[in-house]
Amino acid sequence: MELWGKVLDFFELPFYTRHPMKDDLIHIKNLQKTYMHRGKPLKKALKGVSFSIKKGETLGLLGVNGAGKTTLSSILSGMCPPTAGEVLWHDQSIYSDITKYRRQVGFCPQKPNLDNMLTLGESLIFSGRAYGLTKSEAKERAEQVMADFSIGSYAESLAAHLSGGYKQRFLMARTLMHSPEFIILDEPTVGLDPHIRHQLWEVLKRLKSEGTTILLTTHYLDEAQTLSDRVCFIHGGEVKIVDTPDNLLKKYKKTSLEDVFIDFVDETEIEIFSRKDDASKT
Amino acid sequence: MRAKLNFFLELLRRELTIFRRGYIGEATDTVIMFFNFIVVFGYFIPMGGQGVNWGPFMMVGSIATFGLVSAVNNRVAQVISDVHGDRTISYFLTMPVPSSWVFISMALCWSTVLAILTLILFPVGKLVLFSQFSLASVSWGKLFLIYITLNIFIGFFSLWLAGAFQKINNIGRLWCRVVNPLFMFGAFFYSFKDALTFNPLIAKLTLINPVVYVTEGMRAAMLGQEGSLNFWLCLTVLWGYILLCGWHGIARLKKWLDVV
Repeated sequence: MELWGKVLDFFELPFYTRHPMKDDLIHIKNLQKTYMHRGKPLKKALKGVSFSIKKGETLGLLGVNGAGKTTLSSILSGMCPPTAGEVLWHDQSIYSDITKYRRQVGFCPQKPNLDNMLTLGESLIFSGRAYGLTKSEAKERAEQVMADFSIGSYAESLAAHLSGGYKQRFLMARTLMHSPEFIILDEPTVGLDPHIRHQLWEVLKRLKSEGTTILLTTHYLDEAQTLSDRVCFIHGGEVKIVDTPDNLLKKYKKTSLEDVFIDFVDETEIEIFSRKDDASKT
Repeated sequence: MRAKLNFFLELLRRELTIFRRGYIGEATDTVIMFFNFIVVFGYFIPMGGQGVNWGPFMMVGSIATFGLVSAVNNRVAQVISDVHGDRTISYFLTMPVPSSWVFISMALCWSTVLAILTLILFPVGKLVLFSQFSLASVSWGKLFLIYITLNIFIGFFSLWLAGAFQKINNIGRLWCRVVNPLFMFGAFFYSFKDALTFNPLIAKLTLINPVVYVTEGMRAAMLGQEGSLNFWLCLTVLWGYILLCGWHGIARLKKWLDVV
């Protein structure tokens, strides 16, 4: 399979023609999502997305607002159904046993869906217990994740009373409560001060070293460059590039991923406009 | 199955924790409303020579239906505003249980909490009406069955309401368009037998209203079968409504929240 990958690389064939690799944890095949309103299509958020996420890697998911990142994250979390396409987990459709899949996944959404009626401690224990931990395991794990994110002193506070940064940290802590194999982080560092962002990076690096697979959606390109093994640019509901940050820097002859991103978005916009122009001429 | 049970028990623990924190306030509201009802119908109106025996009649109907008031005010409104706001529910929907089970668990948790909330109305009712209401007329076995059933019905009916009235500005309309007609034509202020004498056609039409079976079933259990709809019929129809509200409510919620 590795040789086959090299052959594909040599001929620069698109990544989605590859068969699921042995080390692929998730293989996304032609994923489509159309939002409907009163039975009529409202928006095509994903238009045939295909790529793979390797076991133990951190994949940065990048794109402008409305590119389809959050939709893709929601589908991969096992919550939202796609309109068409397939998500394979260890070569099996996640929908063949969605509860088993959900047990392995931790999802930290962009919008903090905190339980404002419970204290942080209660909320974490609820989460751990609902994922099947025993009472003592849940308590121990809650203390551990609270320490990791420095929120232990707020254990008795209601989530509603926390500041934005602490809410975000708590959300991350809750995502990790059941020690998932695959975590999806949708803009996890928005609103965090630089010190906390770096603290979170350290946690993510530690998780990666422990073998956790991470899908990291972010607008901070320095974050993506530092943490990602590969990045995936998504634009207008389509995957445009999946490559390592180093390869992209070389290909675009840039020194930072941010410059690559700006060039890439400009290129894509020109491509879209010229496509529209061609269509209007014909 | 174990994961499902585990999730349900944890959700119940969560619901009870939240309920315990707001119990005093919610119980006070319910008791005040209940007290006013039975004092007016049990003592004030009979002073003018009208509505003798209305006290126990209204007491039983109130115990049966006040859970619905609390469910609409607190649970249904909370779910609708949560979906438009914090979306706590979306966290439950990523947990390792089928999304249908999340909704079923929510309905059963509400049922449990409402059953506990309205339990206090039994001693309050007996204390206020005292000799007007005799415990000898109560069939305890039937009361147990109907009390559990009607609270499960209210839980699933609330779930259905949340799925049916999805817009946040529709919450106020719930009272006018759903709760008010259900109560007015729900054999709450009169018995079904009386309704038949008023107008048989309208009385028969009200049989599509599930609240009729809630109030009549409860009266059959607490005041005796005579003068009420058949107890077993009420129980069966309520279970039919539980299944219907559960099935349709879950389908609506799944579509609304766009979940697997």
